[in-house]
Amino acid sequence: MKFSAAPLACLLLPWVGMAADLKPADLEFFESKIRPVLVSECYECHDAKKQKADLRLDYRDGLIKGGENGPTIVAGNAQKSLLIQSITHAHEDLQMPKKRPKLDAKIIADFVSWVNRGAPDPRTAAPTDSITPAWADLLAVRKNWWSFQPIVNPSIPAGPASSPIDRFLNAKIIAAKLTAAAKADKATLLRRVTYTLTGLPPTPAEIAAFQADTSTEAYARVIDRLLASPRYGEHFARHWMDLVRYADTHGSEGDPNIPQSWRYRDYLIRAFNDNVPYDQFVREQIAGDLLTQPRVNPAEQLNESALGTGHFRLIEHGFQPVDTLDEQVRNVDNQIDVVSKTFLGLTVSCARCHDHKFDPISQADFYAFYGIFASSRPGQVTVDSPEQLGLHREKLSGLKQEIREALAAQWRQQAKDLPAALNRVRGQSGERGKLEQRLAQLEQTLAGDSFRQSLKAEKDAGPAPIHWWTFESDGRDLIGKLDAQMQGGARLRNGRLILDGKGAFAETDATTEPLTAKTLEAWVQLPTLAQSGGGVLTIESIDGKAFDSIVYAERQPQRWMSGSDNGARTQNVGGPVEKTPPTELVHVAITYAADGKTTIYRNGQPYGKSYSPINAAGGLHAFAQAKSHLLFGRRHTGGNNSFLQGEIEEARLYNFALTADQIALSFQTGILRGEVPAVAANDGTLKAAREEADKLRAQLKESAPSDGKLTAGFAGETDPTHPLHASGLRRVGLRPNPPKAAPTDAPDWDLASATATAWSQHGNGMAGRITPGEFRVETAGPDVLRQILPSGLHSHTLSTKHSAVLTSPRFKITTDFISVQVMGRGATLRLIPDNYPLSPGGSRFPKAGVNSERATWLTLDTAYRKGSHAYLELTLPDDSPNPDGKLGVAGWFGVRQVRFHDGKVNAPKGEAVIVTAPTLNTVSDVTDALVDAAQAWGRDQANEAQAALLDNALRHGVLDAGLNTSPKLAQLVTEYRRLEEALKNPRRAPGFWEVPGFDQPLYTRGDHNKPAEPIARRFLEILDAKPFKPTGSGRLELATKIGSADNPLTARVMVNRLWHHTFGRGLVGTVDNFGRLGDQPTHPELLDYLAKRFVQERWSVKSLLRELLLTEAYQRSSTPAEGTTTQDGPNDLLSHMRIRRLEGEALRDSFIALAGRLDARMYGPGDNALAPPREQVRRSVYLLIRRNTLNPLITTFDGPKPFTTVGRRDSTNVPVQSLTLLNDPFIIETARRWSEQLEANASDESKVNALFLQALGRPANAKEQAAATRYLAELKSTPAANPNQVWADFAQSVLNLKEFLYVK
Amino acid sequence: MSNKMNPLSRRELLRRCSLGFGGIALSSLLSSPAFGAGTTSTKPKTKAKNVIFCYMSGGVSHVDSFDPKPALTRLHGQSMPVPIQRTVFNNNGKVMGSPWQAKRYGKSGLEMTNLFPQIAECADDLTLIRSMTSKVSEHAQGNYFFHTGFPFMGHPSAGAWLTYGLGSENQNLPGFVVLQSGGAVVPHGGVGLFSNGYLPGQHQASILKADGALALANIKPGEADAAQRRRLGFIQEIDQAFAETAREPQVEAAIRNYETAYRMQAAVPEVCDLNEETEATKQMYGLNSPDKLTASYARQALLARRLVERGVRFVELSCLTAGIGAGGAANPWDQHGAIAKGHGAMAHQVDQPIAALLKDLKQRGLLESTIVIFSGEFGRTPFSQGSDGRDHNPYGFSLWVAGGGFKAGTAFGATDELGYYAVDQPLTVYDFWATILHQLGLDHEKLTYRFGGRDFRLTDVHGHVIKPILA
Repeated sequence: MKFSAAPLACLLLPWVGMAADLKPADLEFFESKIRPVLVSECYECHDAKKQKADLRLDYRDGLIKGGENGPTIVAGNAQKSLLIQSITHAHEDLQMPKKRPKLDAKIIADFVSWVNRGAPDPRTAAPTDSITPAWADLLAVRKNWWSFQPIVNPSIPAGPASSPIDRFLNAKIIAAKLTAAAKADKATLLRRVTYTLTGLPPTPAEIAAFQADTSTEAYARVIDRLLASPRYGEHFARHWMDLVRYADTHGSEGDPNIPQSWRYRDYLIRAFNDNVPYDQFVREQIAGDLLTQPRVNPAEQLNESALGTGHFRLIEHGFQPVDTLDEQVRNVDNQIDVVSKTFLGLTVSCARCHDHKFDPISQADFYAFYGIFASSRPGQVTVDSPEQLGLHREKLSGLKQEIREALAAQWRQQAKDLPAALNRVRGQSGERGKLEQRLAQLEQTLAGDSFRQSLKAEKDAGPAPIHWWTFESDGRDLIGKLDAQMQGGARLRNGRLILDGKGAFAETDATTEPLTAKTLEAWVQLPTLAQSGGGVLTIESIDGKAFDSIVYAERQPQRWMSGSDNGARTQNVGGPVEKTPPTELVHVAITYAADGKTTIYRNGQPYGKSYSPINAAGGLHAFAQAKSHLLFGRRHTGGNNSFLQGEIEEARLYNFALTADQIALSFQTGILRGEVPAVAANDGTLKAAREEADKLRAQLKESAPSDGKLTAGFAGETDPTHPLHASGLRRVGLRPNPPKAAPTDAPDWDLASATATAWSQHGNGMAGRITPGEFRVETAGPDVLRQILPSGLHSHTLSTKHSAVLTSPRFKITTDFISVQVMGRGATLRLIPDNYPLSPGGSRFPKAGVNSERATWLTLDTAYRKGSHAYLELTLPDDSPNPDGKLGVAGWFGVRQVRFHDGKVNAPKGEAVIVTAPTLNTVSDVTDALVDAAQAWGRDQANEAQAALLDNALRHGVLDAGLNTSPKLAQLVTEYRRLEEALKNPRRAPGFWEVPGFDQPLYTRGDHNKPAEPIARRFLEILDAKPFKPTGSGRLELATKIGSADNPLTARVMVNRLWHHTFGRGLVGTVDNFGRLGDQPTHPELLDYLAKRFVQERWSVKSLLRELLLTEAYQRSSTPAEGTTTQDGPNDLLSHMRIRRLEGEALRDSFIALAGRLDARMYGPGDNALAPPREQVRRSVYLLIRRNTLNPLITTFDGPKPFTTVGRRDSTNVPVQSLTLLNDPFIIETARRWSEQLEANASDESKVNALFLQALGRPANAKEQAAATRYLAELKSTPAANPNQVWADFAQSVLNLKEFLYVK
Repeated sequence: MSNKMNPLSRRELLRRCSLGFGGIALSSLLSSPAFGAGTTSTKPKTKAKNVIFCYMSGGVSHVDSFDPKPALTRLHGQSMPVPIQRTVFNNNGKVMGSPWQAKRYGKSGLEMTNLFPQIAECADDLTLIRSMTSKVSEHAQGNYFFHTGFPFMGHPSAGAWLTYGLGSENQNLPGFVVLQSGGAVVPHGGVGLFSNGYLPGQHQASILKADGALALANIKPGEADAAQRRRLGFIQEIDQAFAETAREPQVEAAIRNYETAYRMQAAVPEVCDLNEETEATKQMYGLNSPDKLTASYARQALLARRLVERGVRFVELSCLTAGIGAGGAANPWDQHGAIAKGHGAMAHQVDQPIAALLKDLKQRGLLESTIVIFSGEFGRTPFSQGSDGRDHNPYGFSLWVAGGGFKAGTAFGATDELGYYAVDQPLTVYDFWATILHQLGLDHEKLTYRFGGRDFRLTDVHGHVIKPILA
């Protein structure tokens, strides 16, 4: 329904003249006070279209004439007017407006006054049609409702009571001629106040202390003690949890966890215990993450304010919704419902489909709120204090720059040393280089084929090799199952196993086959030839008694040998001295033939002489299956000098001895990467290759020798394995396939440019820089860094112990695919449609893991979600509301570009789009380029090409980023690591991420497929219609509006809640609804007095509670004075105290306390009482609340279902409650444990007293003792009775007493 | 209970406060002194008193059962001739003909497949609705929507509304019972599906195990009857004195509850004892079926009849999973794959017991006063998911009702030629419940409860009684 003021205004015009006889004041009065009410409350049934009881009220004569009940008014006499009788409900039958709440007292007074002044009415003409009341008119009437009026400062009634609160109450009690009940006895009072403030029973010691304290301050002291007890915060936090439908899971299918939900609960407990001023508390709940001066918990170093928004995330979520907008509407509706009821006592969500039926809340109000909450994004907010989040930030940044400079200096030097190295590179010269390279390629293919053919031809051999490690990305065995596990600091870099010679090695699990004859083969690079005794590849019996190994320089310097246990199968073979430069690989193989003959090969050639066993002991050793294993980089377990310093590129193990030809072929073929290729078919390809190779060889013979130029020879990428191969330096990036289809008009983002600022960065690990050359300092290992990053938005550039979330602007999905160029480790790229944060994956919830060190394109299939609004999100598991991986695992991510496209084939592919490669024609060009790049990078001025060049040089080992290349660098990095080590992983909690906001279109009739005009984000029209600033979500402004004494609701609603918890029912009974469908206050002046006082006392909840508890009213007996009930049935006037049933949680907590098991440990993840480990020792506020499996004990005793605000719990009586207390194993167990604590030797009488005292706060009286004696006698007379069972049974009966279940 | 309850004489109090499982909208009337809350002022003459809800959690394929579509056989293996809506698994295949054969059954000639051969034989007792729709296509929300009229937790289940509106005829048994047996569990969404929501606690469902030693939680005393009576005697003695000083109706009610609870301890085991039934009856239901799932479901069906005989208002039965094609414990009919095998096994589980239930109710003269409902949360797609399953279809599906004054042997509404969309007289869950409530003498627009500033209904703000299907 949409109203406008226009129709009414138009209709008014002709009457002005006709109403000229009306005095202006009368006219004004009618138009402002009477007409709007008639329109909004009466016309529906009494107008041109509908004349209930034959009555029309839409023009003057109709009103005067009246209907079947006679004339409506007696002008000048309100008392006698039917209209007034019916709206005041004084009339027996007519109570108007029908089916609606009684009109507000102020409006009734206006009507009385209007009739008394003669009912001046300008409406002379009878309308011919119904008048739809304009919203402005409805608002004009509805704004009169009591709760929207400013809080007044009422005068305090006179009276003897010291508390003004009592004087307000007593005035009404006296006026009603009631007698107030007597003061409650001390035992009752202590039990009452202890449950009110802590939800627990008083202990016998507390009872004794209170009884003994006869001073006038005794009771006040109890209140102060209880308010200071941590149990108070636990109890009042639980009250608050009822308001925000607290649960630890999202419900629906799967009932997924809300990660870290308990942090919000702990926040509540601390907030109540710390007595945080309520206005502050309110602001925190709406926008605690945005407060400029957050409230920091110094002990915990927590940003308490940021925790406040957790309740927004405690919503029920659908499971994999097909229509995510429908889901969002439900969720935001629920958030609006909870916020408006909790803080304002208003039902704003009733205005989703149309203007509110009764309250001054328009449909536009709903969508104004909608825009605010939908503009905020669900996330795991970082909740450490700003100080902790910024710990060492400046120092680390400073050190990082120093490290950069020092490393740049190193690199400049290394670059200058390059020419000599580069000159050694094979195939240096132009055309010749090209030819040589091509030849090498062909030879490799041919050799590889021959090699494989020869292996295949080997009659006795099985599949060969049987184990094969290339260390490309891990230690996996490409053929068998003997994966190499890194030990002692061994690690992988550039596809090699890096060994430090000090303890690093790799080993496998037990062998999967017996091995006698065999071949050990490896490619290894030795950075220094001056080392001794290291093993390259070893097979060893697990007991360490026998081994065979490729050993370097153990018996003779710089010579290879076949190492074995105690040298049993080792001989010096007289091979040449090893002189391979530290930058080149050596190929070493040892064959152990079936007859025991051992031969060593180096680079494909026999190395020294082969030898046969000297004796039986020196014969071939059989390495038993499952009792042997393999070592890499270690001669054998337990030996001295057994570790190799070097890098193993590849290793193979064969279960037969290769022939010399096979070894030669293997060397020629070289190292192999990736999978085992099939043996090439002899289909002409090889033939062609052979012919081409022959031709090339001939060509090369004739071509000129090296001219020292690089040129095109370096364009090839065929042998990137050689660390100095300059092709690596050119390999700075592949261009993506250009999109085949025309670009769509959807937004494309380049996060390497200034448009990156459109994205929202959250957490303390997003530096916001986009410039090329960013890097991460390694926090362990021998390297300073491992990567130079291209431009883009990168996370965790100071430490992986930071939090980081990156989200795109909101957009409408218009393409079938979205491709994002990302890099990272352990991160997830996700499309979040309509703020739905749970994404199980697949094409319905597109997402992809980000696990690439270099920028690569990931393509999300978004066809299913076309038409939805969404954003892209990058997170690590810790920062995700729906983690995809293990928590607590470090990672990072970076983003460069986003492209929207249709057609999967149009997805950009390949590595980073970077730059045009620099022109490197000569060795000195390379040197110069590297020097320039290092220099620029050192000043943090590297351009994209320079960053890429450095990164490639680093990857290919041209530049060394070793920590120990200079003492200064080592020192800086050590200091960096020391500081970084001190950082803590941030704590996360559910909350909202703030992003630029949008205005939500109003949904016509609430149908989310029918958007109308957008509604500006703002507070409720009736309280402040000014739109908020359009930049943020508007939460901060909303928080200010709600958490302010300027609006008449916030303070009233909260004091009423406290009154409810204290006296059992609010002054306004409907604590969550101060609107027209709610109750009106029984004591409006008192409510305003309390609200004023609350604000005056700086919104102190504890102060207000203290004042309430110190009243006479609270201390009265619950037994009414004679005659009282007949006059004040509902006890609205509080002439006596109300009796209340224990809440489910208080009941369970009491059980645990009585059983002597109460564990006072506070905070942390929820306890599971329903399944093992059945945690039943902490208070119920710490119970895990799974929406789909609520705790039956607490539910049975009216614990709320967590779906909306429940400020007033039911207190139902159902037989299931009795059955529970009689038969539930937990109760029986409680009684048993409780009875076991009775003093064994005490008399029955004192045992009975002890139980009564603990359960009821008082000893048993004489009659009860007599009843107990009879009951005990019966129990004892049972044949099977034993004393333990008797008292367990008796104790359980005490737990079934109504006086235990109720607080009087 | 309300604090606002007027003072009452003790006798009056005890009479009115025996809320037990009985209080007819009383407590809520008292706690909502304003207007609007309450039930029908005058109870029209109605035939139905009870409901047995055979809930087919997971979603039965209507095109394979009660809404046969020859077009699917004709177009089998071809692309869908109309655009496909988003499906839950987005793995949409081609049009898939039904593995079952359609034929006309009974005098009424209702057309059904042979998926449920025994139920089909009861054709002349069935009222088929072939134009049902749902708002949601996921299980939990679908279950909530079907049970409560809202696709999320917190609202009262239909059974709760019914006991709230009508009360119970048996003070010693809960008015709203959910049956389980074997491995049957609560459908997706959890026990909230059977919640009283904001209605008073006595309207919450009790879950009874049709085959368990402990049919209802805490129903079995841990002590001998004599011992418990001694206990109750002592408790009552002390409680009376407290009640005198308290002068509080809710305390009186709490005392009174112990009497009801005590009687329930005897009444529940009695009703659950199926040994009282004849061999012929057991045979008819399939209690001795070699199909373990059938035998187990049969216990629920038979127990449902016993509960209804004793005045329980609303009984819901729970299927057991056959573990085929994504049909898990919570959603046994959910055959996203292997639908022929899965639906075959599931149908075999319920066919005989439900057919027996209909016959048994009829021969005992209970069918007139009992509405039997057979439905899942939605139907399944006419096209395949993968090669041999079907995805969820909320746009059109079938359910049937029997007894309770419905026009028997008729079919109402229709889906399109493919069974994809309801096209003739599409019905909502609101319409369905409005009609069920109507047959029980309740006006769905008047059966309201004020909570959090709004008057709520089972039918939200929608729903029309489907007059043409009433006898």
